[in-house]
Amino acid sequence: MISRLNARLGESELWLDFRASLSAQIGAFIMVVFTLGALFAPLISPQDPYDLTAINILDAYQPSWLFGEGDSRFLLGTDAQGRDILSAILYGARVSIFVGVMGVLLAATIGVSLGLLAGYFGGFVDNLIMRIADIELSFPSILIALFIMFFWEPGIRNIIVAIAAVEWVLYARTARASVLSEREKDYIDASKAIGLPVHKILFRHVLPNIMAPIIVIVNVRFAWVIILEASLSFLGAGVPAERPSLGRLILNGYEMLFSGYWWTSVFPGIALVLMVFGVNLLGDWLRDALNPRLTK
Amino acid sequence: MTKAKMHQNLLSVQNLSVCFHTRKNTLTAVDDVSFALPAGVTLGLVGESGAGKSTVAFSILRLIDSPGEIVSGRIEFEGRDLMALSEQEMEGIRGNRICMIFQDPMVTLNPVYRIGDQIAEGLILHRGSSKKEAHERAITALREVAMPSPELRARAYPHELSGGMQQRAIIAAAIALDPALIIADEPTTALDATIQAQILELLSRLIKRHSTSLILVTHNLAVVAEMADMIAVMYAGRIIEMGYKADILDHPLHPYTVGLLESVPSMAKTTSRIKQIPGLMPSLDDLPPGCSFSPRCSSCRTPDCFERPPLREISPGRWVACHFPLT
Repeated sequence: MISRLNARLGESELWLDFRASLSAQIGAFIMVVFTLGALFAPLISPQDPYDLTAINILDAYQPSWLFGEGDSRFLLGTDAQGRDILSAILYGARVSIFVGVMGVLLAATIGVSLGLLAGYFGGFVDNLIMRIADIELSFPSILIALFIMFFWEPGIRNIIVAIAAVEWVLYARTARASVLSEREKDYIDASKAIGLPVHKILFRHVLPNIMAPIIVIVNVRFAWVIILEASLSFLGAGVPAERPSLGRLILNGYEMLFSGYWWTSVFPGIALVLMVFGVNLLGDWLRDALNPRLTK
Repeated sequence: MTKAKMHQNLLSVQNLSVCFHTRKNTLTAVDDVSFALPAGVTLGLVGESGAGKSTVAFSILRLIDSPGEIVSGRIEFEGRDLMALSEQEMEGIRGNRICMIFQDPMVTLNPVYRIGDQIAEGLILHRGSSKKEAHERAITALREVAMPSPELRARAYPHELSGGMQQRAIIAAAIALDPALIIADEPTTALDATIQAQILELLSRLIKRHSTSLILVTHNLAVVAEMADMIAVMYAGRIIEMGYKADILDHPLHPYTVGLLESVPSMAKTTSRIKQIPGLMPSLDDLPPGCSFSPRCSSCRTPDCFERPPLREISPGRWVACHFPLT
């Protein structure tokens, strides 16, 4: 089984390309570390930051032990409540990645479906969907997300919906453009000619053929969605305070930044930057690898 | 099959007109076309590019997309009026009773699915076969079109096959459901000359074995001469001559058909130059009044030709639309 998988991987163009790209491997490594850290946070983090009984207010603002001061229990120091920053980062990455993945998936599902409809049917449907998209694109996305969150209380589900409401536009535009070129091909006529109903033509025949650009956007936008969530949380309009994401952690420590308690804000910030960097490295590689016009 | 049944028409198209609505005006791509196709017969639909032959083919399956529209006509198939069917009933006929074979096999197969799955798709859809049954039938169908090692090819993706093999796979998909009628739109135009002959030979053998009717849309007279029982010649959206193959090839009546036949290069004749029909087929938005062929016609005698010649049956099974047919 494993040897067969290996054999298939070995043949795969994508795998060979990945093996040849150092930046892709670095990106993948960073992502694997973060994903594993987030996934197994309850097992590996020194403290449960959600458990109030585990937190002692007397430990507040312990400096980072890594930098030679403070308590060896707190590798990256503690915040105003005495919460261990490393644990908070692991749990925060969990929230950030979850919001990122769900936000992107929801946005892609909505956007691709609408783009398929717009591109395939054209006319009124196309105009309606694409004009809404145009209007959305003329506003900065963070403004729309803020506007939506203004009506809703902070919450993980709400922010995922707000992100999808902003992000679907890109998927819709890309899907529509690809459909416009695919629908002219004879295999669409051929699937009509064997009597397939429209929904089967759209989802079984058109959709798989437009997936390459969608996959690339999903990867590239994943980083952007994490940043968007962090920005919203930083502005206090994102995740709730008791389940902080990386952005919320930066906000929590930000007020104390100039009082010398730099570690409360800087370490979550570094974590965020690293994560986004890793995703971007992977996304850039994938964009080039899936582009048939760029052959090395 | 009894003789009486043989002569019952499988398909009859009456007064079919198809228009394309453009921003400027409305073009009539198919103008009052009528023909009948007995079961088991091959009809060659011949004409230049833009004569409307593909539009006729697509109309039979009611696959004319906006801005095109079937404005009038009756299409009777197996005793049912296709124009009166709902879209769902029509989906039950497409691919099931009437199959279509397209010009370019490279783009007719979906690049992301295996050959076998694409052949099986119609069987699962129309016959309710299980995946396994459909797959086995697909392999039988591939064997029937003389695909080498069909089990292996069923697992291949379209890009792994050559053009000829792709077209074989498409023909396999068409015959797998044992339709009553196959419409082949320029099935060999995209293939090499040597492969063309093989594919045509295969197609004619299969339709004979299954006694399937075939509408062969082509601009290639040699293909028609090889395959067809009946020929309909189209010009500027109308059928201008129709009849049995031998009659048309040996005694063409319409000056355009004569011109077409004379423009085919021949090895037997030792004429120094190939004859050609002067001029071009008129654009659909600029048709001459009356007979559309009149500006290019050598036997055009105005003012008679300012009136449109109707398609009339001058002897049984022999139709021509010309005021002065050659005899």
